[in-house]
Amino acid sequence: MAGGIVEKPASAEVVHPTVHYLNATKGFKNWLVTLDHKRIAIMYLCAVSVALLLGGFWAIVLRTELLHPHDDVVLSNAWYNRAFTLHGAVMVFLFIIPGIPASLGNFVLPMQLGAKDLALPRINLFSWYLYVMGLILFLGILFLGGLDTGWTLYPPYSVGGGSEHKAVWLNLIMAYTAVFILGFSSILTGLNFIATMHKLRPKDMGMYDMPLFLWALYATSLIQVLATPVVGLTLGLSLIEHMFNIGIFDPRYGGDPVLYQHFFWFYSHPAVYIMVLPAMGVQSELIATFSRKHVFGYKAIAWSSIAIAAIGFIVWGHHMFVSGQSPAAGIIFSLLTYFVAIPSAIKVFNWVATLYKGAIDFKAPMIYALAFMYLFGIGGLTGLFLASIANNVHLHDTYFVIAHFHMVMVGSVLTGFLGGVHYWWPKMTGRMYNETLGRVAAVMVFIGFNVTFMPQFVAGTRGMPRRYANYLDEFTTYHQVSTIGAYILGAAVVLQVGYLLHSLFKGRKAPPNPWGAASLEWQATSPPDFHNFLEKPVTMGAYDFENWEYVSEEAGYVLKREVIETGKSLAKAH
Amino acid sequence: MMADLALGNFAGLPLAQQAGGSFWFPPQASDVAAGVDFTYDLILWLCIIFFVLICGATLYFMVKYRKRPGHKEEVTSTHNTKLELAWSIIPLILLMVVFGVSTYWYLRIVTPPSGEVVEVEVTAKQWNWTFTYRGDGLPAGKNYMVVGELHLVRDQAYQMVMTTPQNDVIHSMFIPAFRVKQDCVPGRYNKLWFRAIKAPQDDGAEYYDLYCTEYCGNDHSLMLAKVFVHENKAEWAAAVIEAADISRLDPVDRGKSIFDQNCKSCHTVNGDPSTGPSWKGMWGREEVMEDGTKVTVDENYVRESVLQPAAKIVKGYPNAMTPFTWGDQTDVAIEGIVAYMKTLKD
Repeated sequence: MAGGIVEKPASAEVVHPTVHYLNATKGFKNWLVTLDHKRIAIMYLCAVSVALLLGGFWAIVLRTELLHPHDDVVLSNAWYNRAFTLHGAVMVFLFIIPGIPASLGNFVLPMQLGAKDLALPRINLFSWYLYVMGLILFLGILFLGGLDTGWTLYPPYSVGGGSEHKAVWLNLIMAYTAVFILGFSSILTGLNFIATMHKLRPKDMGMYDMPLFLWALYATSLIQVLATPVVGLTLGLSLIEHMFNIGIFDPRYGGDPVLYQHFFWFYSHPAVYIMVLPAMGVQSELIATFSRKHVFGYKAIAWSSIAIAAIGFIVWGHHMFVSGQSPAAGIIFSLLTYFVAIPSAIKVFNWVATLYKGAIDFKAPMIYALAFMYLFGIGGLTGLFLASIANNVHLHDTYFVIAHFHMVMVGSVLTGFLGGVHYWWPKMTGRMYNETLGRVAAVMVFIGFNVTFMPQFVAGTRGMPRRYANYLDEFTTYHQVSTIGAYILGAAVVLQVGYLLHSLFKGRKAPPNPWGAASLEWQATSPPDFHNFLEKPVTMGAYDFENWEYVSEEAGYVLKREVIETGKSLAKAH
Repeated sequence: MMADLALGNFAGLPLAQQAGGSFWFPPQASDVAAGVDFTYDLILWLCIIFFVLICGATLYFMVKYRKRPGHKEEVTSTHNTKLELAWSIIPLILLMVVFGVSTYWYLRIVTPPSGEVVEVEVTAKQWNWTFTYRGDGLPAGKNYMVVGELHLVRDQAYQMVMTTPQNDVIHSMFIPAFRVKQDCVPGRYNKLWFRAIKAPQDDGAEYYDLYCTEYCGNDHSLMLAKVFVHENKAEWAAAVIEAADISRLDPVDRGKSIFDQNCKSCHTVNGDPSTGPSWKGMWGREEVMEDGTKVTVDENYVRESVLQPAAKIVKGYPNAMTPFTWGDQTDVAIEGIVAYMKTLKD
């Protein structure tokens, strides 16, 4: 703790830096070759936002088509199939998987460790370029007439099986390449995060002193590094199969399409946790900060992330209960799937307990966090119906599944992402967004999700199959209500883009710590210096809120004088 | 069922309910349906309890501990091992109970009964279902192929022996009223059994719906079939024989149906060449054969090409077609093909 603590600014003084990472160097070129994790994070944020808007656009188009059971409202069957493929693939590979870790994680992770950057800054920039290549390839597929295979790319359909359907090999190879490249981007980011947490963590910060967001990113990174190669290898095998006519997955050459499903879900099920764990990490930060309480059950939350990551590897067969997989295998996968419910439940209980006797401040990020609790509750609990193998037989590939995974992947992950973006927005941009509009948008998102997906559960139990461009008249009401929900959600996103962009130019200048959060990034200026911290931050527990005191809206929270003077946290050891 | 009590009433929405169904489900028409729905209700109630607890506590805390002048947070203990163990272990025990119940019913779904089980061959193709019936009261030694209609007898157990042609794609048979589903995979035979204990006519409906639930391309959402449940074998046999009799169809429809079932994997109707020449504009055209002779596409050429495809091959195409025959319905089949081809003249 040598040096740095003496020349801290006086408590009430507001620091708005004139030179910071955003303007330390100027020009487009400086951004494109930057090794600064913060700038790379901003570039990621822009790129994943483009992907989110693109995927969201397709969702709106799909929902519009489904307003009417038979007529082609906006899309023919063929284009409907392309639209849901692009919606799924763009959302999964370009938004949900990289979304939180690569944008928010990239920005926050080194700062929460009090570090200057990630361990491997060049690898970080490289992984951004890989991501952008993947994004461009997907856009290319769109301009070359799309792909109608579903994001799962199941053979034999994806590789030209069946009549009147020639595989569009150019588009397919582009999709394979994109997923392969994006996989490398994901692996490299994961590797970088693990290395950073081990090597750049300050000596006086143990693993258990890290914010839970970092534990979540750690678990996520483990999955990224271990599972992602499998999807690359699978797509590679599929290519080899068709180059040399070796039967692997394609029954025309003697291959087995169910084998592909095993390989695919061996990656894609853990990938579900790549998506949701970071959102859970954000959730832990938001709940603690905005109720001003030390998070309850820190170790349980931390280890439940690792448990989810570990169990997540052995449940892939629950995607294949009706594929022809043996009943014995099905039953075992069903059992294992129940086990993954427990660590998820533990997290939720801990978050609720954290609110106890707090002072809950309903700022926009907190509204997202509370919405997360509700939406993840529904998403998680409806997973129990699907883990139940007897019910899964009925519900598999129906709208019940669609509603379930959207509650988790959108209801929770997107909510976590939006909550995180609002939470760290002042830190990233140095500006405050409009709080009132932020709250309005958060409530709209919450209502929109429910109106969109609740009717889909019932449509599903009543037998509405997924990926249907036309449907029977009895499902009309469910679909129409769902479409209205999607429009509300769409309007909320437009509103957010509007006020967030507006804040960049007209927003109030942000204090270093507007929320009174205790993790180290809030000891930096907003926006942070190019080297993150002007002085070495005071190392303290991530939830030691008692070290901060509120001054004014203008100045936000500042460190208490005795903390600055002693350089030690006021919190008793936990 | 319990589920209806819980949530059925908020459905004041104009929902077209399936005849005989509940808020959540279509009718319980198989002997496993009630058990599957019981499992659903069991989980539903557990979920409602936990959801109310979680959301109730959250809402209560949100109101009671909202930030307001004069209210300050208190430091409370940051963990409680007993509490944390309790809320890990109790849910785990409950889930194991659910797992047990669910597995029991799943084993019922996948284990055919030991008594008499009638087999029906199912071929799933883009984008229709073909059911082949034989024996069991039907004239001996004959196959009855019916497209898009599954005929069953009430209380009789049936085993579907399902496949998909080698060059087709994965499909999945889903009969919501029976709560069963099974994929049809090219190169594999998957089996699915069920027993209808209820008939659609009990609820004033004509048939139960059968869907394809594995995405299979352009017309995936149109790959439906109808499930009929008859009261006895005599009625059933009469219905199967009638449904298999393609002569009852209008010749053009008959030809299109045959094309969809048998010809589409190698011929198109949009002018694109495939393994064989496209049917579009082919009728009445003069085609050059492999040996250089010219042949006009008329009734005789079509008949010969169906029964003995190798006799005359159009130049530029492989000799790849297998002969087709429809037993005593061959004539009406060819009549249909000819009628359909004529409509594709242009």
